Amino acid sequence: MDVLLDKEKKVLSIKMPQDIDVKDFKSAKEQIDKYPDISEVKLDFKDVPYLQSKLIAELIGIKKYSISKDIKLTLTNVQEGVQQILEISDLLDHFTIKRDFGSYSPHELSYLLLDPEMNEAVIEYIASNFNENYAELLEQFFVSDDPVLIESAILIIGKSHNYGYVDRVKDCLDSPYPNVVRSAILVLGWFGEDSCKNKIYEFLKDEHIDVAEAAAATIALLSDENDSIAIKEYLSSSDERLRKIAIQALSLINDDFAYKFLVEHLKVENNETLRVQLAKAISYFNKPEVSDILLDMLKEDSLKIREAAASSLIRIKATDRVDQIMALVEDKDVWVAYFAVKAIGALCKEKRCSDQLEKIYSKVDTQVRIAIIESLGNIGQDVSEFLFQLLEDPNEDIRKEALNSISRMNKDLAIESANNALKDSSWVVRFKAIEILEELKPDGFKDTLKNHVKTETNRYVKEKIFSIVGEL
Amino acid sequence: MITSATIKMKDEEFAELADIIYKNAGITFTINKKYLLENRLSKRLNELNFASYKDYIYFLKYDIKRRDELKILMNLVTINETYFLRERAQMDHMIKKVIPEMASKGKRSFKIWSAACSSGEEPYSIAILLNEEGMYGKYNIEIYATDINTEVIGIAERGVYRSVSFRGVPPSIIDKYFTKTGLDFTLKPEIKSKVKFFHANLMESLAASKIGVTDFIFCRNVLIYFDVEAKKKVVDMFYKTLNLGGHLYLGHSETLSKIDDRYKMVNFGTGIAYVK
Ligand SMILES: C[S@@+](CC[C@H](N)C(=O)[O-])C[C@H]1O[C@@H](n2cnc3c(N)ncnc32)[C@H](O)[C@@H]1O
Repeated sequence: MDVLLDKEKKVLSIKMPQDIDVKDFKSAKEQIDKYPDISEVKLDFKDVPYLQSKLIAELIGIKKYSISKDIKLTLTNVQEGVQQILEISDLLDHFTIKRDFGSYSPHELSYLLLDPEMNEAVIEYIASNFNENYAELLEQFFVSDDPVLIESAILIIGKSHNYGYVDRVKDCLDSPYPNVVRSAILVLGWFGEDSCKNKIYEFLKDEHIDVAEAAAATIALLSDENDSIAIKEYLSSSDERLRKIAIQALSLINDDFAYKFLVEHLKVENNETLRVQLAKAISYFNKPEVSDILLDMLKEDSLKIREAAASSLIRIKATDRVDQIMALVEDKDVWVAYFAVKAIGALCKEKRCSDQLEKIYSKVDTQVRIAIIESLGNIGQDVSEFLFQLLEDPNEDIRKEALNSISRMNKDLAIESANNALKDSSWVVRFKAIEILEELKPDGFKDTLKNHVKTETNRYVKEKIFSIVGEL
Repeated sequence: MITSATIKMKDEEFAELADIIYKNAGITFTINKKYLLENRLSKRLNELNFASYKDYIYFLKYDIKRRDELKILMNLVTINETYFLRERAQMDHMIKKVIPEMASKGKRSFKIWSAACSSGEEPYSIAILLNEEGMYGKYNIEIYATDINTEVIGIAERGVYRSVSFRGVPPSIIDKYFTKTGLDFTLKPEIKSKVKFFHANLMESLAASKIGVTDFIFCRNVLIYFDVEAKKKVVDMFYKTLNLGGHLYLGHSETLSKIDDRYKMVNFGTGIAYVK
C-alpha cells in the first residue's frame, strides 16, 4: 500500500492494492490515525478492478470513521467494476468520487488521452503539472503518427504556455491531419505568433470547417487594423462557406471597420443562414444603431432570421426600444414571442411592463407563459399574488418558474411556498424549492432538508440535498 | 461573435438535461461530466439562438419539433469511440469456436446483431474476420448493426474511415479490405454489402423487433453508460430476442453479475460470453 502526504500535510493519499482485502481497510485506518492534522483522505482505486461485497461494509466503515474525525473522504480513480458495485448497493450518492491523474505514470496518461471522454481533462492535468517527464512524453507523441496524440501534445504546449516549442507547433501547420492543423492554428494564436498570420490566412479556405473556424479565431486574436480590410474581400466570395467564415472573423475582430463591413454586407447578403449569422454578429457590437437593425430584421419573412434577431435583442441594452419589443410578445411565431418576452424582462423594470405581460398571459403558448413568469421575476415588481395562483398549475415548469420568481420579490411567501413545494409531485419543482431554501436560509432549513431526504426518491434531488447538508 | 465560447450550465439545468437523456437513452451522466455536456451542447444552443440551457430544455419539452431535436441531442451526447478489431478475442471466439460447433449440429444460417455499432467498425470487423475464415461460402450469415446516433450510422453506411480507426490493425488486413485515397480508407464493397444498418434505441423494445430472432449479440462499451435499471431492461430485451444457445458479448469492463442471472457465463480464457 503506497501512502503519500501532500506538501501542506493536509491531504493523505492511500493507494489500494489490486487484490484489495479487509486488512487493507484496517491499515488505511491506521494510516489515518498516524496523521492527526489531515483534512482529507483520498483512497486511490486506480488498480482495483472489482470490490467483493464483503468489502462494501469496510468502505462504509471507513467513511463513518472519517466523518467521526471530521476528515473528508474521497475515492479516486474508481474503475467501472467498482463503480457498478457501488451503484448496485445504492451507495454511489454517498461517496465523493474523483479523478486524480497524479497517480498515473506518463505512459498510462498517454493511454487515457486516447479515451475521448478523458482527453481534455488529461491535457489540462499535464499542462498544469508540466515537467521533464512530460516533456519526454511530448517527444514521443510528435513521432507517434497518431493524430490524437499529436493534437494533445500541441494543446498541452499551448495550455502550459511552453513557448520553447513554438517551432514544433509551426511545423504542424503542414500536417496531413486536420485536427492537428486546427490545434496548431489555435495555439499559435494563444502565443500571439504574428509571423504565421499570412500562412494562417490560407486556412480560411480549408475544406475542413473546424480548421477554417480556427483560422478565423486566430486571425482575430492576432489582428491589427489591416485585418478587417483584408477579410472584407472574402465577404464578396461566391463561396458561401468562405463568407460565413469571414463574418465570423469580423465579428471576432470587433473593430469599427469590421462593424461597417458587416452592416454593408447585410444589405446584399441573400443567404438565409448567413443573414442569421449576421444578425448575431452585429448584435455583438456596442453601437446605438444595432437595435434598429435588429428590429428591421424582424420584418423579414424568414422565421429563422426573425428568431435570431429577436434573441439578439436580449443581448443589447436597447432600453429605449421597449415599446417596439413589446409589440412582439404576441407574435405568431412562438420563439419570437418567447425571446421578446425575455428581452422585456432584461430591459424593463417598470410596472407597465409587468402589467402588460400579465395581461397577455392567458392568450399565449406554454413556452411563452414560462418566459413571462421568468421575466416577471426579472422585472421585480411585486406580482406575487398573480404568481401564487400559478403554483397550482398542472404544468411543472410553470409551477417551478412561479416559485422562482416569487423568491425574487417576496421572501416570506417564497419560504412558505418552497416548504410546501417539497411535497410537489414533480422533482423539478422540488429541486427548485430546495435551491430557494438554500438561498434564503430560513431558520432550521437544514433540518427540514435532512428530514425530507429520508423520503425523497429522485436521485438529483437527493444529490442536491447532500451537497447542502453533507452526506450520510 | 463568440460562437466558440462554451455556455455554462447550472446544476438545475444539468439535472434536467441528464434526466431527459436518461429517460430517452438510458445513458447516465453524473455531475462530474457536466463539462462534457457543456462542450457538446454549446454550439447547438447557439444555432438555436438560445443563451441558456433552460431555454433549450423548454425547446425539448414544448416545441412541435421536439422529437427531431431529441435525436439531435442524442447525436451530440453519445460517446462513439470505437475502432476496427477492438476486443477481437470475442469475435474470434464466435467465428472459430461457436459457429463451427453450431454448424456441426446442422445449423446453416446465423444472424449477428451489433447493437451499438457506432460508426460501423465493430460489425465490419466481424464481416472481415468471417471472410478471412471463409465462412461466407459455407453459411448464410446476416449482420445487422444499429445505433441511437443517426450521424454515426451515416458514417457507417458510407464506409470511409481515417487512420484513427485502425489502431493496431495488421497492415495486411488494411491493404486487403480498404482502398486508400489521401487520408481516406474506403471499405471495399464486398464487405460493405455484408452489413445492414438501422437507427435503433436500445431503450425501446422496438429495437429488437427490427432485428428479429438472433444468434449473436455484440453490445460492447455501451452498457457502461447505463445505470442498473437501464441495463436490466436492455439485457432482458436481448434475452427475449436471442435463440436458445445464443451468445451475448459485452465490453471487457462490463458484467451481468447482479443484472440478470438467466444467462450462463462462459469464460473462454481471452474473454467472456453470456449464453442463453
Ligand atoms: C463507445 S461506442 C461502442 C462502439 C462499439 N460497440 C465498440 O465497442 O467499439 C457506444 C455506442 O453506443 C451508442 N448508444 C448509446 N446509447 C444507446 C442507446 N440507448 N441505444 C442504442 N445505441 C446507444 C452510442 O451512440 C455509441 O455509438
